[in-house]
Amino acid sequence: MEHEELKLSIPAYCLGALDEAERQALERHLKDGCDECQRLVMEMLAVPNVLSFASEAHPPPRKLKERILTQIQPAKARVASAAEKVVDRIEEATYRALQKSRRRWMGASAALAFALVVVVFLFSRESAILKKNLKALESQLQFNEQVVIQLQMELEHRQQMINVFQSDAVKLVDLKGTGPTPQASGNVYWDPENDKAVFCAFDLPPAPADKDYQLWMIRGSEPIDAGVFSIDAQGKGLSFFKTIPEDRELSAFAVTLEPKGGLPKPSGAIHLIGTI
Amino acid sequence: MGKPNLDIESVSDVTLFQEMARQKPWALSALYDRHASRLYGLAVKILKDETIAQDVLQDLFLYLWQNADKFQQSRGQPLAWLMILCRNRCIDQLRSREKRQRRSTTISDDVLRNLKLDESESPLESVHYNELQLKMNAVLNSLPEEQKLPIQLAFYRGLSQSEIASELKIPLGTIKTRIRLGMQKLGVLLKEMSNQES
Repeated sequence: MEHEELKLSIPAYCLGALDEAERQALERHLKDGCDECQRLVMEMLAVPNVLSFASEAHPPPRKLKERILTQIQPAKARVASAAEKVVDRIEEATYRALQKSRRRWMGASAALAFALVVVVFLFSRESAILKKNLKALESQLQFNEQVVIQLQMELEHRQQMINVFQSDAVKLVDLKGTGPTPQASGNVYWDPENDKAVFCAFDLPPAPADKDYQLWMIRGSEPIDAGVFSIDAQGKGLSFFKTIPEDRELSAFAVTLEPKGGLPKPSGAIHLIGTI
Repeated sequence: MGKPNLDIESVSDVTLFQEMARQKPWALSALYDRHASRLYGLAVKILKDETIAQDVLQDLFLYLWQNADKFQQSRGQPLAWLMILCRNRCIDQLRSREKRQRRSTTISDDVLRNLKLDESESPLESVHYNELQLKMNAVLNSLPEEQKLPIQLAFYRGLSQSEIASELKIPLGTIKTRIRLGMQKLGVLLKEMSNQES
């Protein structure tokens, strides 16, 4: 197709209404670098951009957000779901065993009625004990699953830290105590090639109950949240955080004391600072 | 990582994407609070089924979470391409429900990521979204019915020009002309709207 003919198809392209062959032909033409058509596409794209806004806003059900936030923790969700299936299978097996036992007794003669009553009584008592044990085992299983999840997460966390230390690209940034904590110090081990970093703090006093220490990455004059961290009884803190390719232009790291949970931008005094 | 407890409204969408790239769930939560209603409204309008619309929204937000590192490089109005991503997913759903042959007439996610939508001449920056909704309806209704209908069939049902021609029993060439004229008219009206706002 010629340029003029392709140009006429741009409105339908931006609307997503071209047939496959026409779409491919236009995209080849755009890739070949036709400035006029590229400009027309950019102009015409404004139409479908805003057409979407002709529909009314409609709040989704509250449970949808919970569903999405649960999904972004896949490992935990998977293990929890597996644990539920195991418990279901145990319950089903127990139920079948009880059914089978009942069926056996249904064909017994009247002469055995008394014995039956006695056995049923004993069986019920046994069954109650078994159910109680089963519940305890279920709780134990759930507890163990939680422990496994925690250990897996911890292991993954430690492995990521080790990867940072082992990277050839790792940069060491020293942080010095300042303001209210001149005795404190810290190090950031930063692997800019893989966009991961580990932060260690030393000799920081414990944060008040309503506050957290928060680490910041400084890019130009802009502080970027790198997460809050806790301090142990020895004044040590450790945290692992991810960076993004734009962070490769970072110029410094700093620590401030902020309200519990941290803030998007720092508000408190600087406790540690180190330039790259 | 704790959730920041102040000033979440003042954090830009672009920053939220950067924080999602750093795997901060609070950023996804904030982005959801900010835009889910508008995205869900569009999905329900296209799909006419709330359950499927919820699935589409879930799929979209998980996709954003997993690909935030690619999207955070985009500048400008993320809601504009969030709406396009949402619309594309809805159209895919419609196609699979209607068992229509799958074709990729919608602009792909990769292409979208590379487009700088803020450089397209969109009036989004200066107009409040609710106001924009009213204005867009007025603009759409200002088109002659013969141009509006094919555009709506393409946009809300994902039909191609030949599918529209077949559905409306109108020659393909006529449909192409009506869509082109209608879109050009919408483009001019939007530009005027944008100039008035600025």
